[in-house]
Amino acid sequence: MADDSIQEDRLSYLVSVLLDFKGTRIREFCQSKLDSGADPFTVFGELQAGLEEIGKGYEDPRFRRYFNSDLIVSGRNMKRAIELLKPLLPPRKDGKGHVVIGTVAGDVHDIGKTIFAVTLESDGFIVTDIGVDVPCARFVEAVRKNAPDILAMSSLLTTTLPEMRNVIKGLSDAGFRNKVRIIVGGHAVTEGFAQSIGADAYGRDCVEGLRKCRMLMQERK
Amino acid sequence: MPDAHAGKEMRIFFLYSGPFGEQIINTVSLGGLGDQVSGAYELRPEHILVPGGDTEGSESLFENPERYIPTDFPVAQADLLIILGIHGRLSDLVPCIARRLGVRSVLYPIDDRDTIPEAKKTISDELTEFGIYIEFPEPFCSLQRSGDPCINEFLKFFGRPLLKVITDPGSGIIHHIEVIRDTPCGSASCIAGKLAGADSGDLDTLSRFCYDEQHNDEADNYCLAEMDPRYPLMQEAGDLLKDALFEGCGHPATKDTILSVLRQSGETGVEDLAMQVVGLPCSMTASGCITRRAFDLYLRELKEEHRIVITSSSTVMLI
Repeated sequence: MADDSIQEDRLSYLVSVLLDFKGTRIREFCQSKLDSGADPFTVFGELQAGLEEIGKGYEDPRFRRYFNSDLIVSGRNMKRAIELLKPLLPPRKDGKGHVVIGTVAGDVHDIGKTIFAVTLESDGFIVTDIGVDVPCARFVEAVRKNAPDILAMSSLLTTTLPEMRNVIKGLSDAGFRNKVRIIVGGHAVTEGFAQSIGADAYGRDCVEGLRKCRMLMQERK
Repeated sequence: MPDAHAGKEMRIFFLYSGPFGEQIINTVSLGGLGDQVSGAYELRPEHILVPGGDTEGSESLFENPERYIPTDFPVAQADLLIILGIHGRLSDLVPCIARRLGVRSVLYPIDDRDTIPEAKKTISDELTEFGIYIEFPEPFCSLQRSGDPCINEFLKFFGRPLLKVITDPGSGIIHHIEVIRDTPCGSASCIAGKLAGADSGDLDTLSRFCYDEQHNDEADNYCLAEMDPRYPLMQEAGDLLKDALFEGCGHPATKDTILSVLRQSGETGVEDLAMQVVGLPCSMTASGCITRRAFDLYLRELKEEHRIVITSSSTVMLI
């Protein structure tokens, strides 16, 4: 019981650090951990536990206790942590997998895609972020150039959904479709749509997306 | 009982949850009303509710809300209670808390569907019964006037953005922007500070900058409203900010575009009018808006201002 309570306190502390909108506490947290001798991966791991707690609270259909604004701010704070910790990380050759990520053409939404990229990175994936409003040809070129394990596409607008289908067709035409697993997400996307265009997975949000990427990597092994 | 605070400055109390609330409290406190904040309390759902969204006790929150006010809730007095991003289920506590604080008005902005009060009508009726005024702006930065003096006092500083753009008379380059009314999240003043040196005549660049910066999480202050395309509050907030900037520069804003279309086309169906005014971010007309919500808001306002009539067959015409 006492252990549970300590674990709960620790999680609630990590959550409060991640939800500080000014970003002061995340810098203090990372710095104090580093000063006490922790390696950057351990610090990432701790923050990841906090991020997962927020994700669980956002996903819980019976008791949603974290909202959209909490996801945005915690994502921003993870980016701050990454800015601070990334230069200290040893070059990682055994990443969980390589993901190329971008928002499809016609859509300039960046936040959700970036939060997902950061979530993947903090979980150990190597991420190549090719930005927003990415045309089909650039997705195909990025897959050719980087040979990633997974291609992740985001779309927030219903009007840009057909672009996802175009990219998958573009990859097939270029002969890359069988070399890469595809995950799609973003507010305009549904599980049914993902299946209809022949994507390998659908992520409703960052937390589910991360789970699916881990799964895709398992299947690949 | 005589009101010891009569004639003094309005006092504000915040009941909030999470960074959405923190950012607004920070903006309001640093933006001219800091000495009027009598307190703030973070009401986290997990301190009161259990999985399933109910309370642990035998009585529900609805039956006996007083019992569930946290024991560490501060003793304070206020005139205006502002509710920021608390769990919708906890709204049952609002009337009790409002009465305990002795407030005259409650401002309950909704910037995320998940924070819509579950018992909106009940708490509204209950507060009205006690002579307390309540308003639910959606999003917060859409509010520009109220039927309540306390809220109007707040709106002198925060609410729908209102900007005065000072330009170089020869070149049209923006010298500086005076923020007459900031958005509660502070994004309007944040963006205004970055526009010095921009060309006030370049409508496309100005609008793109506005929409991009408004939710730029690298900025000091940014919009944290819901951005779901099915409930685009963040995008609507972007429209309101873009229009404030255009008005400040002396360019036609969305309302002017609506009136201009009606002048040219005469009586027009609401849907046809929307098609000519509402665009998409990638192909927007600089003088229109990107959300249907903003269009509908402007249409309601033009009607209230007696500048247009909306007929029973959903057509719009100028008065």
